[in-house]
Amino acid sequence: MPTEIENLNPSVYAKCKERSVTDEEQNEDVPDPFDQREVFDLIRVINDPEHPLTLEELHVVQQDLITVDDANNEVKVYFTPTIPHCSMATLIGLSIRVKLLRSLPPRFKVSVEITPGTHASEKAVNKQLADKERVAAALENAHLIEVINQCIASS
Amino acid sequence: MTFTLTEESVLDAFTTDQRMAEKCVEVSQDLVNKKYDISSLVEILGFALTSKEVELRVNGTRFLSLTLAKLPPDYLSPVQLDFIVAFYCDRLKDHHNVIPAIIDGLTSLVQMKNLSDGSVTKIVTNFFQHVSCQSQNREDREKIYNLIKSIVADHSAELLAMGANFIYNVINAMDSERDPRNLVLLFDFMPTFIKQFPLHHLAEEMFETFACYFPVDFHPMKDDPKSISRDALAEKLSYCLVASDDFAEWAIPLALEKLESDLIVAKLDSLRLLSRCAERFKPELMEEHFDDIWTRLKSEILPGSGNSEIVSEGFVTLDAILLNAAQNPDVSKNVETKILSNIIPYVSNTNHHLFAPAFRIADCCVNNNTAFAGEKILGAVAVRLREEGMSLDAKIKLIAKAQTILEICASKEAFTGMDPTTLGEIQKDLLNSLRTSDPDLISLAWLNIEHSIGIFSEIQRDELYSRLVDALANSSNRVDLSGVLSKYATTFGDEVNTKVVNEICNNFPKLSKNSKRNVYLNFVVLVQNPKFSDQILNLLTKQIFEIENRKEVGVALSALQKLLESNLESALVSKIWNNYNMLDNFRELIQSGSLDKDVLTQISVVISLFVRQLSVEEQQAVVDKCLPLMQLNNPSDLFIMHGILSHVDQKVSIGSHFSALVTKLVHMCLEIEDETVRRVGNTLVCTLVNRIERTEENSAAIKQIIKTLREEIKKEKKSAVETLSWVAKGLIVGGFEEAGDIIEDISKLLEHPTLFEAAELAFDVISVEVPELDLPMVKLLFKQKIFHVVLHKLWDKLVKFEESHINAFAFVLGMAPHPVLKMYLEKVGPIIFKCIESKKAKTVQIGLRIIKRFLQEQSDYFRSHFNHLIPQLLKLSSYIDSMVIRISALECLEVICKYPVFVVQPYKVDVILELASPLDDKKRLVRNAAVKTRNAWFLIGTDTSKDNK
Repeated sequence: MPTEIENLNPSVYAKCKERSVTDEEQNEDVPDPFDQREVFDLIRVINDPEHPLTLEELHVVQQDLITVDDANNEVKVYFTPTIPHCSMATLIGLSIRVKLLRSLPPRFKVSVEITPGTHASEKAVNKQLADKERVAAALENAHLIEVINQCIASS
Repeated sequence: MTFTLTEESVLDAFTTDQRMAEKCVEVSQDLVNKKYDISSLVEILGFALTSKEVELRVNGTRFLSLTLAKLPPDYLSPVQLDFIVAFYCDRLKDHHNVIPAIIDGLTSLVQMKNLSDGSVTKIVTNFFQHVSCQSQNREDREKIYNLIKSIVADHSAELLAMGANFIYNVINAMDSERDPRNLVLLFDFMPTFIKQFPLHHLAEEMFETFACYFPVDFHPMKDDPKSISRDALAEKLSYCLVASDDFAEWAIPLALEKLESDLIVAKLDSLRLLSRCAERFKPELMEEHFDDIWTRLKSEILPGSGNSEIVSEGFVTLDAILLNAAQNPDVSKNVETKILSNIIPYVSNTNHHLFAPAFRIADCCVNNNTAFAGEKILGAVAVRLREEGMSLDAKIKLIAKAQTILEICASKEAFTGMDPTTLGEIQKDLLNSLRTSDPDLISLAWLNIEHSIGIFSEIQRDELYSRLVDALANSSNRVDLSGVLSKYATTFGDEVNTKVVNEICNNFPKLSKNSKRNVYLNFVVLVQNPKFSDQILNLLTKQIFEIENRKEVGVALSALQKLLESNLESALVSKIWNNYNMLDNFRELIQSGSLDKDVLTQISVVISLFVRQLSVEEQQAVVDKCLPLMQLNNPSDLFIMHGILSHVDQKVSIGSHFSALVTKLVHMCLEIEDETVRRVGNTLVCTLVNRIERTEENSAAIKQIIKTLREEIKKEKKSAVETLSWVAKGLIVGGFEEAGDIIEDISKLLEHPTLFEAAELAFDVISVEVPELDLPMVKLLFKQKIFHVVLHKLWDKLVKFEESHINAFAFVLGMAPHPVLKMYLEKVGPIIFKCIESKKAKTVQIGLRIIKRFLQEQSDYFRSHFNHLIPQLLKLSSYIDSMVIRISALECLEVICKYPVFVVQPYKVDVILELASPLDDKKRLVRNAAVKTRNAWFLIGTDTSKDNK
């Protein structure tokens, strides 16, 4: 963790309400497909590495920026760093990736990218996050996985 | 026993401490009985007191001091006391080993009544001249402090005359004391001391003596018999640091300096010291330091994201400071102006991360200077609300926060002292919010309106009323405006009557069903207000009892039910019951037919709510009137009967009707096909056999119905098993003997080829808690009793794990209190495991619920069976037939994570792999549980999971 905080006064947004349980969800016979909100619920509770706030409260992740294609087994998540030169972007992206890796069935192909035009080194970060081997190597790093676990932990 | 006063006997007394103590008691008694006087004692002791051997002098002085301690306070004359005081003062120059004995003697002397003037001065002067307190050991220092305490209590006049000298000596005595036991003594005593004695030029010295302990750094030993805690010491110290007004000059800067520390304890102590300062010092004194205080305090509480303990303590401090300032209006205004100028920029920016903490500070300010701060904050809110382009979310957030402020202002009746323009703006904003289409914003605005009743003018209220009518009469969704309605009805009764209630009542028939429901549910709160009571009850009863309204009777009944559940006064209930002739009207309504069963059940509930709130005499009258009229072979009468008898008071007698009543009921239950009606009949039988007084006739009736039921069972009638189980339930809860035999009968039926399923369900009936069932006779520990009885009866079959018996016993397990299961865990544990392997979903469910509870307690029994339990739970996490079971199994697995790492680590890889498949469950709720559990298992053995333990 850096000693200095980059974005001291981020804007804080309201959390959305908990998803209410519908009658259909309680009906044993109706299958519930994976949808945008379900994936959003998985990642909105991840903690920001800098602030005691969730990614949802900082608008780093937003429901509209998630696409889920249940039939074709694809999930695509765009996230928006709070400032364009945020050095935490890779770490946040990695946290989202790891959380989804642990929480979504293996049949899904998950891609996590920065919302186009919101970060200075967008391409580099996207490339890193898309590279399976680099992600796997990063997760072998004891210190890094500890930080990621902390971001995911209280969720 | 008397003491022979000789050198030998005195020397003999010196041999052990206990002997000396005994002898001193004897000597003091002899002195009191005038066998000899004090001078003879001193004379005989002379050899020891003046001996060249230190040891002997110590013993001599101790002997004398102990004897003095046992003498009555008025025993010695002034002359004798002068002599002894002079002697002790002289002894102070002696060897330091003698000093403890001298301190004992002096402590006894200063408590003597006949001490002449000047003696205390002499003692104090000589004492501090010759004895250095901090060179004594711990116990002796304690004695010295107690000596000071007792002279301060009894001889303050003489000490006050000594002026600064005495203060100086006291400061010297306690300076650099390190022992926590002595410090507790000093910290307890010094605040009173400082208030009693002027500190002269020594105030700063006195303050410094205490300041060096701040913040308290002390780690008590585990086996400390006095169990002094750090927090107790810190609290006592804080009172010393603010004991004198002179200390303000140093105490506040001290607190602010230590607030900068990185240690949480130091910060907390500093904040508490500041609160203490605010409680103790005058507002003017505090104001001098306020700029510094606010700068430091702001950095602790405004970011709002630091240590939560510090933040909440910070708010306590801020509250104390503002409360202190409120004593002086000018100071309060200055102080709050400074605070508000800092926070107002954030108060109006809903997305700023300081928005919430700034409002928390604003609440504090408004609480302590309501009119001033309230006006400023509401002004800022109003300005912001009028800005164009403000998002709906931001508006909702702002109005929600403004509500707290309005609530405080209303509760302190501060609206009159506030600027009318600001209030006008807020009123407009609230009314505007009502005109929007967002339901969240509208309900928030109503909530605000409810809490700011005083701020609306008559014209504005007119608009409010028309909005209210509109919301009630034209909304298809459920709206709850009962709070606004009841508050405005209390304050502006006539206006609400003409402009809301009459308005709606006149147009009532034209309203839609949903609107009618809204009107009923909101209007029932007004029944308690005498002005509205009749009108609203007329509206309700008309709806229920008039034929043309038959289709919507359920809506009105729900409203009546809500009304009866709202803790009405019993006189009002009785009035409604009698005035509206409820019983007859309901009978007539039911007899007119064409009501569906839900409505019949509702009527039964409403009647029972009425009856149980009547007085015992009225209940008796109702029962006496109705019982002869009822025809139980007619199901509609059954519902009325159930309403009357299901919750009737235990003191009400059913008299001679019981036998006929219960026999008819049982016959009806045996015959009737309809399940709802049968259940109503069965529960009524259950209540009746439970509550009835055990006369010979009634017992015979019960025996008879049991006999009838047994005969019916022989004919393989399932409904007989069901009714018998309800009878058993009523009997066993009341602790009646017959229950044991019935359970035996039902147990046997578990092996019956056709009735075994009914018998399984019978155990469900016996065990399950039915909220609407009233069983007045409840035997202490009846659940335990059921558990024991059933366990005993089924044990032979249970050990063979027979399916039906396991299923039946599962119901009993589900009901048994947790401590009972815990006691018998070794015995029932294997059965619980069999439950989760059962084919029957209900049995598995009960098993999982019990296991989860044990796992939450980190039960060792289940821990030793993880090898078996974890694979079974993983298997159940994909149990096809029931999502509830899948979720419960996953929840159990999640609880298992909380066991120590070394216990669960071996299973980690397997569980994580296996849990991948429930992640793709077809039901979302199962997936959610799987995500939670799988993520928790990933964290086992990492630092994060350690923090949680």
